[in-house]
Amino acid sequence: MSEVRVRVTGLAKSFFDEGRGEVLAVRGIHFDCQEGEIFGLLGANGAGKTTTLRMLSTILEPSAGHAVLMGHDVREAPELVRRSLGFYSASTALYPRLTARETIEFFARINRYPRDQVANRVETLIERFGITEFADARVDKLSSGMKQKVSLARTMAHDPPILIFDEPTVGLDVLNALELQKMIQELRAEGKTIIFSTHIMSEAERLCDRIAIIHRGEILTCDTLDGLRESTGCHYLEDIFVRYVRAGEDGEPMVAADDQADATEDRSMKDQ
Amino acid sequence: MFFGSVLGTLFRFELKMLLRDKRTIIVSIVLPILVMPLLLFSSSMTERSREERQEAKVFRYAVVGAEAALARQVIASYVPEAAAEDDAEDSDAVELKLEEVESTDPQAELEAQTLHFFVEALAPGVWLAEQAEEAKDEAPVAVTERPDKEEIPLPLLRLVYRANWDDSETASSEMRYRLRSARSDLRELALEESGFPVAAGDVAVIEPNDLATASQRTGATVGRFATLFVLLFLLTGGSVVAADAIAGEKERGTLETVLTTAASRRDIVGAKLLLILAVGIGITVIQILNLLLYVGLDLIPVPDSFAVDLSAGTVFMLLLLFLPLAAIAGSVLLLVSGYAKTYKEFQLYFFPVFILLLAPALASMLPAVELRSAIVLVPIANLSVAVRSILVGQFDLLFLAIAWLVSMAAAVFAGRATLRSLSTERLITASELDRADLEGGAALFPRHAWRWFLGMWVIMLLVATNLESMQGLRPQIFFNLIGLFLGGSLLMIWRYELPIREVLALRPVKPVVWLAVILGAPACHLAMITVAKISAMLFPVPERMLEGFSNLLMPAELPFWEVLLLVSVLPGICEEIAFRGVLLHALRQRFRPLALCLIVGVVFGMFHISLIRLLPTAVLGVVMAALTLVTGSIFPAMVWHALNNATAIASGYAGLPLTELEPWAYAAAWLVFGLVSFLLWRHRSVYPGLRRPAP
Repeated sequence: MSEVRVRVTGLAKSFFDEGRGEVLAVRGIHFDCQEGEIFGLLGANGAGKTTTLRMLSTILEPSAGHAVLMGHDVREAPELVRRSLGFYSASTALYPRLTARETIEFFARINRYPRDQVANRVETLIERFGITEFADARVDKLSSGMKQKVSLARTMAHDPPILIFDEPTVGLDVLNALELQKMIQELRAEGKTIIFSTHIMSEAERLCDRIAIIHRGEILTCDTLDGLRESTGCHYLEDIFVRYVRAGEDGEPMVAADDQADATEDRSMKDQ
Repeated sequence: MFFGSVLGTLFRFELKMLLRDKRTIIVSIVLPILVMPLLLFSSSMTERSREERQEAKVFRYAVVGAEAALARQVIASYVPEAAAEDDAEDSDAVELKLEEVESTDPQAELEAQTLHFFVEALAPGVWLAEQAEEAKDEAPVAVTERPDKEEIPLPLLRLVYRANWDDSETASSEMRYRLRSARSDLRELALEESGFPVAAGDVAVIEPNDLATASQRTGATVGRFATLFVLLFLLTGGSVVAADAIAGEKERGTLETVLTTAASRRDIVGAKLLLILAVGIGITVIQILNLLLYVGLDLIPVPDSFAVDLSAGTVFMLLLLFLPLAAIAGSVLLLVSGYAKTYKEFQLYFFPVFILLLAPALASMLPAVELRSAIVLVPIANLSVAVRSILVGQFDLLFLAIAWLVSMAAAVFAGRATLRSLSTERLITASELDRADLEGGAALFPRHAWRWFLGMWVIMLLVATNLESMQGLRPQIFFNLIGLFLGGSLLMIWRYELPIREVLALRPVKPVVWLAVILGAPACHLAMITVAKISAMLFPVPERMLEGFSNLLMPAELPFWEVLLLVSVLPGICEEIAFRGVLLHALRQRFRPLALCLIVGVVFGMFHISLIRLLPTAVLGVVMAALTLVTGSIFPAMVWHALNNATAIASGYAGLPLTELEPWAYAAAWLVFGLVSFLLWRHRSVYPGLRRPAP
């Protein structure tokens, strides 16, 4: 069995809202991701996907529970966690006044990539992502497709074992989105662990090895696509998703029972 | 080594990006450097051309009145050379050309601006009569009869001019100067003729003898403004970079990118702070050099007595003191940037912050403020006074060190708050759906409460300072308590449809609380007096500040029961409704309990306008807020507040000054206050819906 790189147990986040008081954005979720796996978080807007991924990337501190990436807890060693991950989302922009090459160099350096290898790494990435032609142009002069490539390159700058993609295709046109999906598959082939959040069913169907359906801060189920099909009897992910969400809202026990079992299993594994 | 570290890398790239931003460079560095010479040049140009115009110009005046002929003689007796010798300082002043013209109606001509001024020469008798007439209207003081001086043939000259017309003002003051000079000549002459034994100029000679060196004198002048100017440069220079530093990054979405890298938040904030400091200090140095350059080029006039003689040690100490100043300016700017979500928001916050930071730097302009006072605990203000004390050459190393540490601590505090702002969800990410705005009503109130209280404060300030009729106790109490506090509170409750019982915490309390309140109020009152006394020992405060703790306004003409009603019962009800009712409720989820009490207390203190009453009332406000939180009800605070004020009133009527009791009385008061606090805590029933401590 391949190595478990991300382990999330009982992770919860509540924050304070002036009008509403305490808001529970994520309510104690459990999952883990392995080497060479694309793990999908599928959920509607406001389901808690981004909050979960922000906790994994240590932007937010969890209110309860644990998230351990490459053996480092997000709360105890946030900097070590961030060193071993690359975070990409539609909202993580690039510095407009740096060139593509400088951008990659900057991110390699502040992610503490070995100093003497930075120059090599930058050239490798420039070549790999097809940036060579515009490597010395300032980012604000690039087209959105070019920017996307630079963004990916900077996410990879320090060659992290874990990559987090938070709704990466939002705002991209079809071709760019496909290109990105292809790239993500290549990264999996290299053995990266990829956590991928989306609300687009086809994307999840095509890419993810395992899918967790998240709704109102809770993971309703977590399985491979085939496994989901089997347990619901539906073929399309859309139907499967709706089925779980409805069941979750009605409070039916069938789904929750499975989840509970997983959770206890996770905990006992951790205890050992 | 530094540039290889993460902090160094961040700083290096930030600097690189800054230098590529032409707009910022031009606005924040090039323009200020150009503006100063332009300003100086244009002002010296206008000054010169004004002088030239005045030299060329002929000012017209008329001499009228019964004694016009005599007046002309006096005017003619003015000798320009002699006057110039008398007054060496004004020797380079321009000699204006004054020309007398005939005028039948000088008043009308002055209005029509064809005449610059006129001299009305009155016979002494006429003038005396006028004076007596005026005096009769003004005050019933008897006018002393003057001996008959009619044999002295001197007229009384009245200069008539218009101060709202520059030329009139200039010409008439020139004439005034000439007349004074002529008068003193005439006086000396008259004395000499009447056989005065010595020269009039030698009578009662006063010779000032200043022991301060020229450098110290200059220091006293420069020291008043030095800190203000340096801070001004630091803030204006640093602000452009600061706006971009966090707020700009949020707007562009790059902050989230950098927050997910291995760079620690400390490094990120540190690099940004370094950048702001580098630019702020850089611009300050450039501006000061710029200034010195123009002083050197004589574009800025410097008095002859100006002498700067700073030793290397003094310069070092000044630089050392400006270090925390730069740190505060930088970290506060960065903090503002951290709290603003966009550029625009930063600009919105910048102006009030700018004023708030500059205001304490004015402390060095207050003549009597010494560093060895409470001012040493006020960041920025302490530096400005410290800088002046160094420039004047009289300083106390211990207090300099305290000032330095206090200001540095303030800078560190602001820096840490910035660090925290990078961990606050609300601040990092662009605001998503805002529920409060959609729901409106009660949900919106916590955010609007500040505005309401600010509005109330402004109204109160305006009324208190402007309306004479409000100066009396009765109208003032009715306006403030009933109109503003009670009316304002009810208006807020009505406007936001707030649940009145919850907002005002109208809940019953356990009987034991009443016992605690009755014992606690007078005990607390006495206990607070000791706090004031101790702080007065450490930091000398005016005597009146102490009295502020116990003496309330007590007009003797009102009967005791009415004073009790106005100063004890009504404040107990109305002020508690506004502050421990509405304000406390509005802020209860914004701050944790301790901060909540402090803030409610300070706001309450601010509403007492005068500086002397701020501290005692703020302390009372904190105690009242804590009482409300612990008992979960407003009623104990109402009674405590009323009893507190009643204690002061009663002591006033009984002629027993509470500030001068025996030490054992204060000790007993502390003991009772401590017991009461314990009792209240034991039987607490906490105010519902408070903000819980962070996980």
